Amino acid sequence: MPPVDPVLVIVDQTTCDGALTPTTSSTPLTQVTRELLALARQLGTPVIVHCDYRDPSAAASNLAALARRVSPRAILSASDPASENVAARIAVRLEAGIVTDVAGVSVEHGAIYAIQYAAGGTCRIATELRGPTPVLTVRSGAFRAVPQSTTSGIEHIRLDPAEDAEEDAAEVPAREPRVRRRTRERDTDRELLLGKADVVVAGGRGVGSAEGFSLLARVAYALGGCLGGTHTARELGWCPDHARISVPGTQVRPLLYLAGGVSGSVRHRAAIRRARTVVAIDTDPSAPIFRDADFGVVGDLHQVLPEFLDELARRATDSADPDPDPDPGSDSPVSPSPEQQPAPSESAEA
Amino acid sequence: MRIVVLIKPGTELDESDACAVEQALCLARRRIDVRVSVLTVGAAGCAQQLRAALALGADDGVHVLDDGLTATDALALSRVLAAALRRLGFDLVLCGATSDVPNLSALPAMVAERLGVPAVCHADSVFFSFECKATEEIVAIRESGTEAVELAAAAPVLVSIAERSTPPRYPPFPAIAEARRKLVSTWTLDALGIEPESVRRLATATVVRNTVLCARAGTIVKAEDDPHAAAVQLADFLTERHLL
Repeated sequence: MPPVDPVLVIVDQTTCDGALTPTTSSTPLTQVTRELLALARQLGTPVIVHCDYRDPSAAASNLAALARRVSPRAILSASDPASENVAARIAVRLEAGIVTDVAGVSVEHGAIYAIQYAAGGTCRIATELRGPTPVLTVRSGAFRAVPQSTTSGIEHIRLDPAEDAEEDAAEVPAREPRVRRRTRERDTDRELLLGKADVVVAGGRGVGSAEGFSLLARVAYALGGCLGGTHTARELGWCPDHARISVPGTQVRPLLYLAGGVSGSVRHRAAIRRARTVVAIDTDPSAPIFRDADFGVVGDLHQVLPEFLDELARRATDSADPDPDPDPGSDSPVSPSPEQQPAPSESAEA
Repeated sequence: MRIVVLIKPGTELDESDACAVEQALCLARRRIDVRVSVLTVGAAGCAQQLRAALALGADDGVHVLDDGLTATDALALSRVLAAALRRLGFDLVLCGATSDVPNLSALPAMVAERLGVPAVCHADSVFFSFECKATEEIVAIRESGTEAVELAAAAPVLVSIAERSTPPRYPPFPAIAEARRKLVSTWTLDALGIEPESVRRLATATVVRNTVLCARAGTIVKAEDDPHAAAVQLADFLTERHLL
C-alpha cells in the first residue's frame, strides 16, 4: 500500500551495513538520517531511499524516476557536499525548487516555509515552497533526531540502477571523474595548515603563560585541529608569528573555532568572522568575543578545558560500547523547531 | 583551451568565486593558449563583480542581463548558466563551491547535470596533466583534512573550488585600470533561446517571503561553580552540531 503524502529521505547506501529488505526494523540508522526523519514526519510520511553516492548522476536519475512514480511531498537530504550533489541533480531532473541548509520549517495557512540563516546567522530567511516536489538539504543538528526505536515502521527503498533507470535516458550519462591517487597528509603539516584547518583552537591573554598554551594544544589535538594565538599572545611571546590569528596575520575559516582566554578585539574578530561555529571561554562576561560566539562559557579555561578533555575521553571510551539511542538529555542551544515526539526513557547512559 | 569561471550573482565577488578565478589564472600561467572568461547572470549591478574578476586577471566577461531572476533561485540560474555555457563553448568550467547567498552552493552540481559533464566538487586546486595515453586530463585535488584525493577527467569538465583554496592576490592598480577596457558582452535571455516566461515559471517553485535580521543566537554558560557541568554542556553542544 503506497504511503499517503510520502516524503523521500535520501541516504547513502554505504552508511548502512548488510542486506536490506523493504520493511526491515533492525537496521540502525545514523543520527543524520534520524534528524531528517524528524523533519520528514512534520511534512508527511517518511520513506527512506538508499542510493549509491559514488555515481551521483545515476543516483539522481533513478531517484527522479522514483519520484515521478510516487509524487512525494518533498525530498530531503543531508547538507554535506556528497548529499548536496545528489540533491542538486535531482532538483534539475525534476525541475523542482531547491533550498539548501534548511534550519527550520514552519507551516502557516497551509503553506510550508523553509527557514534558512545566512550571513553568519544574522539574517533569517523564510522561503515558501510552492512547487510540487521541493528538494531540501537539511542543516545537521537543526532538528532533533528521532529515537532509533521509533523508526521500525518506516519503509525503505533500495534503488537498483539496472532496474530503475529512466525510460528516456537516451543521452549518454556523464562519466564520473576517476580517482587517480590518494595521499595521506602528514601530521607535521598541521602547523602550516592553520588557514585551511577545519578546527582551530586559539588562546589569548587569558591563557596566562606560554605553558598554558600546552593545555590548548592538547584540546586542539583532541579535536583534530590547529593551534593559534591572538596578536596579544604573539606580543607576549607565547605563540609564534605564523600562528597569529589577526587581520595582518592569518585569517581562518574553520568549521569550529574555540577561543580560550580571548577577549575579542576588533582585529581578531575580523580574522575569525568566517568561522562557522564559534565557542568562547573567558572569565570576563562582557568580553566582546561573546557577541560572536554561538556557545560561550564564562569561567577559567584552566578549569573548564581539563574537564572538557576528560569528558571527551569519557565519551570516546563510551562509544566503544555503541548505544543506538541518542542521549536525550542535552538541551539544544540553537533555536529551531524541536521534534514533537517524546524521547524514551530507556537510555542506559549514566 | 577555454576556461569559463562562473560568478554567482550577489552584492560583491564571492570569496570562493575569487578562488575559482585564481585557479583559472594559475592554469593560464602554465600555457599559452588558455583564455579565461568570466560569466554571470543577473541584473545590471552584477557587472561590477565581472569587473572585479577582470581586475584579478580574467580576459573577458559575459553578462546575461535579466532583471527578473532572483539571486537565490538556483534552479532558474542553473538553466540560464548552462545555456550560456553551451553558447560560449568551454573546456573547463570553474565555480566557487560555497556561497554567502543561500541555495547557490547547489549551483555547480546543477549546472554540471544540465551540461552532462563530469564534475569535481569542493576541489582545492586544479592542474593539467598528460597520462600514459597522451590524452590530456584535468586533475583536481580535494583535500579533506586527513588525505588528499586526485580526481582526473578529460575535458569538458566542471570543477567547483572550495573556499579554503588559495585566495587571489590583490590586483595591482594598472590591472584594475586595464580591467575597464576589457570586453564584457551583454546577452539577453532571448539571445540564448530561452523564453523569459519559462524562467519565471521555474522561479515560482521557491519564493522568498521575508528576510529578517536577527542577532546571532548564542548560549552563555557560567562555569564558576561547576566547571564539569559547563564542560559537559560544551561537549553536548559540539556533539549536536556534529563537530565531535
